[in-house]
Amino acid sequence: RANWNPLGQKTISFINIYYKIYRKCSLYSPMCWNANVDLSNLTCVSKYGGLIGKYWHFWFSSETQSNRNGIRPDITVFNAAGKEISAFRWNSGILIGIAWTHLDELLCLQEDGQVLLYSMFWHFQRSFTMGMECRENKVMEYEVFSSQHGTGLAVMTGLYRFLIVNNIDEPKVRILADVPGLRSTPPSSWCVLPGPRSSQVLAANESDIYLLDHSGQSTQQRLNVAPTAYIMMSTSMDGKHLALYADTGSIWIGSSDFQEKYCEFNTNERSRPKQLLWCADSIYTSRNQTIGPSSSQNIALVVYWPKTILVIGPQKDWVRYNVDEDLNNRNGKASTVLCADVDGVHIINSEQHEFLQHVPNAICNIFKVGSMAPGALLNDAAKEFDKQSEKADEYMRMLLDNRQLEEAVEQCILAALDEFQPRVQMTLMRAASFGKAYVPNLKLTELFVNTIQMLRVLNAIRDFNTGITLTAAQYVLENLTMEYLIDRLILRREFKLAFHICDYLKIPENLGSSRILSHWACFKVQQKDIDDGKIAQAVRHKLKSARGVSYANIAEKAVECGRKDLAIKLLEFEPRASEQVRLLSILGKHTLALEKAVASGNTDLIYSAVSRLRERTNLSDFLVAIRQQPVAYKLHLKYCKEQNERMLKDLHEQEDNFIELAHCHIHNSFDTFRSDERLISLHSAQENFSRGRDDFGAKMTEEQLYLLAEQNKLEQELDESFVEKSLHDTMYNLLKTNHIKRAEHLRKQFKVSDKRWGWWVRITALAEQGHFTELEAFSKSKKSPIGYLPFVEVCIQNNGYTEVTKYIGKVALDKRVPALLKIGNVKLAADAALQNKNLSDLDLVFKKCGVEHRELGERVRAMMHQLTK
Amino acid sequence: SAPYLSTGCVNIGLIREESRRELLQLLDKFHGSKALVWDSALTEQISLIAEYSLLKERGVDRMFPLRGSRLPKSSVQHVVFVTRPVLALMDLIAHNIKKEEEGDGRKEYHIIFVPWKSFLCIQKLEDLGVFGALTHMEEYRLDLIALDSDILSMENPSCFYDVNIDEDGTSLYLVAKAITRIQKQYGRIPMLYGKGKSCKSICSLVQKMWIEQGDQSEDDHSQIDRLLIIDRTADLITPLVTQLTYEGLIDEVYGISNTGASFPPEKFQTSSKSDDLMTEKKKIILTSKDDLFAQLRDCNFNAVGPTLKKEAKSISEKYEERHSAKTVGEMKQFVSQMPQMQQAKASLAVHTNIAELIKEYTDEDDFMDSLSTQQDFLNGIGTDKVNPYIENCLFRKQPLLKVLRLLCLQCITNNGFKPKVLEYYKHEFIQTYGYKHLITLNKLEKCGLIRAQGGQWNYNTVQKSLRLLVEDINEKEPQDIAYVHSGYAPLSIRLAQILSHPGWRSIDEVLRIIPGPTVSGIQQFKPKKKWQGSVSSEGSSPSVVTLVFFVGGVTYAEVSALRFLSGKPDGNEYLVATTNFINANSLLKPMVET
Repeated sequence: RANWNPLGQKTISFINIYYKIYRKCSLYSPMCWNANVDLSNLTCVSKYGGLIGKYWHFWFSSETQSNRNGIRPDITVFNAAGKEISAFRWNSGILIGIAWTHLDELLCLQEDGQVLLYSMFWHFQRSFTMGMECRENKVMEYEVFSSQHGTGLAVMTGLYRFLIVNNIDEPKVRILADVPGLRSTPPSSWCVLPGPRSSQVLAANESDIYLLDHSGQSTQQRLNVAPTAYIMMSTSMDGKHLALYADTGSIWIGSSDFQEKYCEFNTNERSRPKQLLWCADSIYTSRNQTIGPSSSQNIALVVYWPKTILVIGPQKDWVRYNVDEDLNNRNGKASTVLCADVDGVHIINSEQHEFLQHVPNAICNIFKVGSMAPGALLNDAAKEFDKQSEKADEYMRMLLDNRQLEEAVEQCILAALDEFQPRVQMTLMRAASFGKAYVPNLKLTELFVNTIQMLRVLNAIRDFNTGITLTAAQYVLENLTMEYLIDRLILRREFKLAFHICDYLKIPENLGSSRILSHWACFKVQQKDIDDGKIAQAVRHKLKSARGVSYANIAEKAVECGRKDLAIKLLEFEPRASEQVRLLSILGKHTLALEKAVASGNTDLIYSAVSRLRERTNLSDFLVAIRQQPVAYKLHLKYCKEQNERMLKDLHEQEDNFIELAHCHIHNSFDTFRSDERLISLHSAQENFSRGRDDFGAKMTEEQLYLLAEQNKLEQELDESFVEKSLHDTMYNLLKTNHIKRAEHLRKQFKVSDKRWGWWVRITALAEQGHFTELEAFSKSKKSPIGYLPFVEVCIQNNGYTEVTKYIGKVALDKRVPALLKIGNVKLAADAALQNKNLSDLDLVFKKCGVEHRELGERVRAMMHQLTK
Repeated sequence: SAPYLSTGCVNIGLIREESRRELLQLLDKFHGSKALVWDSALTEQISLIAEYSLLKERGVDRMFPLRGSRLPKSSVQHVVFVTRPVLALMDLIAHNIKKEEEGDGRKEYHIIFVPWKSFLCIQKLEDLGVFGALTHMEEYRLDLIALDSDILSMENPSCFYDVNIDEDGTSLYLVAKAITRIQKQYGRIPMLYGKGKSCKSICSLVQKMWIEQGDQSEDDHSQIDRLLIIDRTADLITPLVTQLTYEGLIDEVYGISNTGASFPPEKFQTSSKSDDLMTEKKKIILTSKDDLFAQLRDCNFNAVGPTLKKEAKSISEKYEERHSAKTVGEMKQFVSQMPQMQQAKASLAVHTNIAELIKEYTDEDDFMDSLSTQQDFLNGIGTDKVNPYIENCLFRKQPLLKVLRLLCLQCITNNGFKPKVLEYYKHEFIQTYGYKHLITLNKLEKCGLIRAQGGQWNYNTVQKSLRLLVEDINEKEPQDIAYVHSGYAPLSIRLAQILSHPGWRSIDEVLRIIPGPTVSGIQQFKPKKKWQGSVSSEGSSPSVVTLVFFVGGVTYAEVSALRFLSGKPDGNEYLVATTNFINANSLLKPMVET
């Protein structure tokens, strides 16, 4: 359960400006820091506003306890409650300013225009420079602003020239136009006018105001009033509104395009204020509205002089607050710092941290004196009910009769959400719960439950230990805020709190707990005093059940910290093999990388590991390593087969893989056209077959060698190509060209079987040449070992239909029918079939009979009929 | 779009949709006009994902085949090479880029690797000196293509060869990736089963990848109840036996690739346009989009004729209805049906032609002889001796693949040859086809298609205990999956059938005899019972969906057999995924030395 910690304790004071009410409520009092803390020197408070609609608010203050006199200043980072987060000593160039970026990085600006970015724990992130102009002429003044692109920086150099970077993440320095008419004096005042695309600078030379842009244009802005000089100016966070403070003490308040003047307010105070800033309404709390541009009606100007804060509304109404500070005692009460946020202004001094805001409508409705809003009535009813007074019933009846109870419940819930004090939040929620009992409404229940969750989270992060003063308005409106909040907590190393929040809100693991744990682990590996084994164990223990954790990232962090061994240990847990292999290779653990790649089954990964291993080790080590990984070894063989034959043979040789080696040589023998090379290859093949005890292979190779010799001889004698033909084809070719003796010779040499030689090869060759007489003679020369059907077949194939009858009588009875049908002799076929009494033969014949041989068909059918009986 | 993909028990169309989206996203990375240069092996595959008109919408102005010659002239901003990660193709790409840069240097060059970006290829491009000229190198993970409402294929034809001859496991890794993709789309599959060499390692890869992905919850409803991985090496009999289903025979005779088959044009000559002779082959797309084909594809070929007759009759009856249509409304209704009827008529004509072509083929003696030899082997007749028909074929120098097919089948049904028989065959084989086939034979021995006697495998025991031979098959109204081979039930499908009922425990002994390890049930997680979540309106329990993944290829007959099982009313549905489609020819061809 989130803690219900008390926040500020002071009572609220409502003050009317026109029809709006402002309040200054105390967030933290007293502060955690030493009461002597000095906020007067270079203090910055983080403010958030940035990406469109994602308004953020929470902040830190930091201080430097020194000045520019060459002494290294100390920088301390505090949270909003003044609790120290970190402290460090500045050790670079002359520091002239610090500010927070929208990503909670500390931006440090040096006099020479160098900008360094640090994390809040003083880890250097990155740096960039504002250019030559700054290096030569020094930076005089600067302003950090937030734009749609992120955080921007504008500086004024010693030559009163303005340079601007719209987004420090892509530091592109633009030089703005010069202020016209300036001589040796600086502009009397200037400020940044943030714009949607690029930001510009407004600068005043005495009473003339110019808009400077980066295309080198300066436009003079004309006003009807003419004081001697404008000594201070300020734009609202969205850049829509502008306030100009004249040396007469009067303030011009209007739109930043100078088209509209809201009012002119005379303060009668000629001294330059310490700060001039805008306080926007929490208009964003109107929940069903989309955020529009702020209008002149929902902003107010805040002017701060020592001891006094003045709030001025657009209608010239004003409120004055006294600030309790002793200006003379540098070590005692220090000055106050104000910082504008998207829906109010933070006021911080050594004693407390207050928030000045327009009272949200929901709260106003309930707590305004004499309010008859439904929410107010319900709140009263609940109070009376606690006192067991019958008035409770009266109020409830009023609400029920007017059908306002649902509205009342909603108002109470929304008011609780906007409230900072847990005590008040609780009262309001209790009232809501009391009212809700009478109106069963699912939507309200949902709102109620969500609000309670939200309040618990908000109260937990507002605790002085964490000190993030997020307002509900900022939290509610944006769906993405939860992720941002988790990010902020991670940045602050509030791992435990972030984890509990994710757990409580049931945020998906990949966005919540897993992400937090990864960051925790990255932080953990930086603790150099703990030994590798213990850290690896601790990380594994915590992250075991978390899904989607990248151990590779953690290992990379360990590598960054110079802890190679730890990184290797951590990589053991990484489920993504590609990451594992990549990092192990970077670490020079090529053999281990290969092992992991093989385990992954990902061929591509194996190839890359093999290749890297080959590049980084000598050949013999490489061969030893790859032999231990059969899978990789096989892949490497395949690669060599295609790309590197020399290597392939070496590998086979090394492994005594004689048969594969023989195959390589056989391939070589095909690849060449030169008969001597071919012979050499085949001899090597034969030798390897013998070495590998493959008798068959050796024998075949021997025969091939012999055949080749014969073929070469034939080629010379007959002027015909024989090489690359099989024995069968060679004999067949010889027979076709009537070189019967030569064929006979081959037959004897190769012990060709009788059936193949005598019958198939010969009769095919004879029939193909149309030598049917010779064929007949041959058939009679000897009893055929393959029967006589082949004779019929070769005749048919070579259009010797008439020849068929010569052999058909010798064909076995059961094989005659199909043959006869094939030559179209249905009559004989039918005779044979009838004689044979074979059902399937009869069926074949019957199908061929048709109309032509109707009578035959009848007979066949009769026979079939008889047989089936 | 392809609505017919979405009609099965699991919506396969989703896979296509996603591939389509990914492809378009890739193309959108290159702003402006593009020319695509295709590795020709990919064109058909991609056309199953996105039609040309769609590519055109995305700025694809020109399409060229990837060749060694110079690219045709074009004024596009981007030249995108779409290629498989094959080293030889990198040479062509490099050549193309260099030639192109000589002329006009203002083009940008990109490569899209399908289905994975290979380290070696990139290294090769670096070596060839064009790496710097390439702006983007993308990976298009087209790991599964939806071929029909119940078929997913990786269309990776070299899987069997790579894994068993080269011992290159890339395909297995891709299979695991494909399974992971299926799980991503349809939920994690609760139970894993498998038989054969690679199934164990694939299962462990699948589990690893799930962890690697990390961010998924597992309890969401899985639409697939179990996965059965069948490594082709566990059943090498089935692809060697001639397929006798309609689709199977089309594949055996003409070859189907990427759902299309090409036929001799003469048969499809339409009389009206007889003047211009068709010379190009007639390509016909064969999917269940065609209603008639959906009916015919799984039929035994002997049942195709009657089905065609019935269809012809029903179409002519429908035409006759026009006479009975009297009122205007009836006429209108008739007219509205005309387009469908015409389509049905056209389809009928196409399939009648195809059936006639097939009939001619199957009536040939060689086909019949080969078939009866196969039947003899399956029945264990004369397997231990040199077979006269094979010998005959060798002496007549019949097509090499035909001989090999029979040789391998005899070998496997005889549990390996006696050494003498083996040597005789090998010797005769080399005498007929030449010395280089010493290597062919060696490869066949390496993957166990040809071997000497020995080992655990015993065809007779397996055949008997799994009832692979079924007599009295009714080819028209089949009762058993054996109808797809007219009497032989595919071993692989029998295993799937027994897994569904009564379970593999009943055939423990047999599984031990079949080569390769067995995965008899890895529980990935405990699923919530389906019927607790949603009560179906009919009150019947929902069917159990099994995904059968064939590693190394599946035959069309096997798919038909699985469809037959899905059609039975016992609540089991099957989904097929495969590395590729095979038949005896495409299985053996890569091993033949050329």
